Amino acid sequence: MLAVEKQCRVYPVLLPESWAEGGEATRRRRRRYPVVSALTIAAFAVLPFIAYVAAVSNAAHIGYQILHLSQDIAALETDHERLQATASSLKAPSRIEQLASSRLGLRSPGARQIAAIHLPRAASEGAAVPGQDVSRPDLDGRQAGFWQRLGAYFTRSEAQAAPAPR
Amino acid sequence: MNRRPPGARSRQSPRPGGADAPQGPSRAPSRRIGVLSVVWITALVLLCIRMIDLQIVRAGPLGRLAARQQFESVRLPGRRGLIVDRAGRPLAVNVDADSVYAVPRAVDAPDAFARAVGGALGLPAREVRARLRRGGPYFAWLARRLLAEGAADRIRALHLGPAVGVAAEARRAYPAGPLAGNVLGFTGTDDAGLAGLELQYDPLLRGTGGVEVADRDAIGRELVQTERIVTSPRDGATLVLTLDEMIQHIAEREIALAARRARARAGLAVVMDPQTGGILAIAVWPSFDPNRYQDAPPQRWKSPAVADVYEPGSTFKLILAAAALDSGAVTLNDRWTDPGKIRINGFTIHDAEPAEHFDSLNLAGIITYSSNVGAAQVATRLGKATMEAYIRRFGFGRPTGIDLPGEAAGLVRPIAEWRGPALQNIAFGQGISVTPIQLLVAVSALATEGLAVRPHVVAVVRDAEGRTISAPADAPRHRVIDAGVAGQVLAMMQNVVREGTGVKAQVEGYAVAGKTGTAQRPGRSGHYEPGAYVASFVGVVPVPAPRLAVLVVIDGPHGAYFGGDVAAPVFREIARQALWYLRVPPEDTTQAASSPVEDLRPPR
Repeated sequence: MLAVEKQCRVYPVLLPESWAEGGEATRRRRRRYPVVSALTIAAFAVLPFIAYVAAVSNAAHIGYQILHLSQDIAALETDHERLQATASSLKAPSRIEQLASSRLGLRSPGARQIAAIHLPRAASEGAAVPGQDVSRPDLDGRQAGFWQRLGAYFTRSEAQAAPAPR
Repeated sequence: MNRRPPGARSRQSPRPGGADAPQGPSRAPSRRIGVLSVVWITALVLLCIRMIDLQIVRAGPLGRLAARQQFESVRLPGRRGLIVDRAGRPLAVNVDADSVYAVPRAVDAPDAFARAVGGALGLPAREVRARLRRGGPYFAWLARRLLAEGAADRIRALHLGPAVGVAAEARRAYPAGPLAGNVLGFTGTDDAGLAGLELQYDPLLRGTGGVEVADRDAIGRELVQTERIVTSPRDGATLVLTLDEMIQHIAEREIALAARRARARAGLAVVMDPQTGGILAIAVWPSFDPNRYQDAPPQRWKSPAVADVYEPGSTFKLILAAAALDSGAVTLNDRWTDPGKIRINGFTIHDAEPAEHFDSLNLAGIITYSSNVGAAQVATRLGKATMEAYIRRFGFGRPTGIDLPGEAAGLVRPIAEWRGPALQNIAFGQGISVTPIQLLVAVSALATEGLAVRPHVVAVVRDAEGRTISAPADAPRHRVIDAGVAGQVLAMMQNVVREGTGVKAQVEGYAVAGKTGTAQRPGRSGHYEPGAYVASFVGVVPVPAPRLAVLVVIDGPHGAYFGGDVAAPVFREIARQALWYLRVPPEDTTQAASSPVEDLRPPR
């Protein structure tokens, strides 16, 4: 009992107001149910520790989820690399050529089987050439002015509205 | 003692459970509480003693034991950098492959184990036993980076418990197979570059591993929240090559066809951008697949375009012409007689076809008709010192600096060793050894107004984040000869293709300039092998602003052996297809467009 009363003084704010004020009835009640008082105080004292353990447990749980996700990412990256290698091998020119000739009966064009066709200047400027960036074409093959780009911004796309690369 | 007379009433009426309740029953809980307190305090004291024992007295050894169990240091691998072609198509990538290991101490019956595992891996049992012995008692590799599908699953299906395990290891893979195998090279078991670009750029390609420490839970799972990276891993740099997968394929296909058709010992084609020195293709026949480099003899692992030397033959007359004009020793109007053979310092020099003779040839004629006799006379007028100086100026006798391993310097003997007709022989490319890349760079200078480039295979080196960390392609060009002289020699080269020995190199719609070469092949004894030749053709296209410089070398052709017959057609096919691929428009499109189905070659 003495020990309990001492603890009550240590944590006075935690006690209900009526207990803290200490009427005769309260004191009597306290004397009558010492275990309840002790348990209540102990519960309040232990509460932060329980909260801490819960937080740590939650962190560990999230950590396991992160671990699983990391393993999934690693597995997916491995798959991606394998698929990239497979795709590259499937796109190898020798393989495509072999399939084209054996399955489709195609053959390499001769010197006179390919014709160069003169195109209007505007069209030829926009033609795709290996190694050339065609991601930002000009408007209608010409150098676009400010108002045209502004108009394009609202009517077409932002990419077309950007100034053409020099 | 408070004695009370019997029958006396107390001042307050007794109430059960009240303050004046009988003393007997109220003492019992107090006693129990006292006992409980003693027990509790005793237990607490014992716990405190135990805690002091664990936390203070035996703290050191127990701490170390706990750290060993819970704390783990994890090695974070740095991935090897990729190699991609100039369009970003992957040529060398990393894939995970299964490796099989054993714990020899856990193997109960080694013979049965060796038979079972050997069967699953396709290895003889004695080899498995040998590998078990090679490792220590706790670990031995049985097979690294398995290529065979399902081998690891077969091992798992054996259910051999802890005696055998499967681990994933990164393996280098070359998705295009043998394409550019000589250029790319390969890596060894421990991911170290052993040949080609893999060797040359190994320090950049190789990733740096990192170290991470983390705690583990009771069942060995890593506690992510305790992770701490001690050293960050760094992935290797990515090499962006000047090589083009498609042009490389075209060159490899054509050189293989030509070499097989000529029943040659070997074939080589190098395609370069003469303006920048960027190598677009190095095709070698026979080649090898870097995925299975062990299957090929080690001689094939090198890149003969830089590591092998050969006598260039008549293609070297271009150097002679450039030196003669640039030094002023010869003019375009000077003329010589070519009777088919000539005697110099007691030795007879003759043309490739001795029956052929010309009454009067100027320098352009000597080049166009590849006159050895004419070249010998021009060299005589030029003199040894001047000739040697120009040979050195064009870069012969020293490595070009190309970023491939094992580059040879070629063999240019000092003037003191030029005895007999050595000067005249060198004038038409005999008695001097060059690498294919040296000759291509030298001839390219003639097509680019006398400016020589540094050949290179790597355009850009990028770090793992994609930032450019170096650009070997940005090497400056240097002048070798006067621009006017280069133009004059280029015009001679055009004549060679238009009406000389190189007519089979003509590409319809494009102006080609080139030179044929046919050299005798020196044998092991140092003398020329009878009937063994090296046929070659070097050219640029389209003139006057060349996009491609191509050298074709066919070693040891049977039957026709002249460069104009064996190598020039290969040049034509490579140039024609590469120009179309690069969308280089022909000069005369109406000519190309006419009779669109006239040239129907049979399917190969």
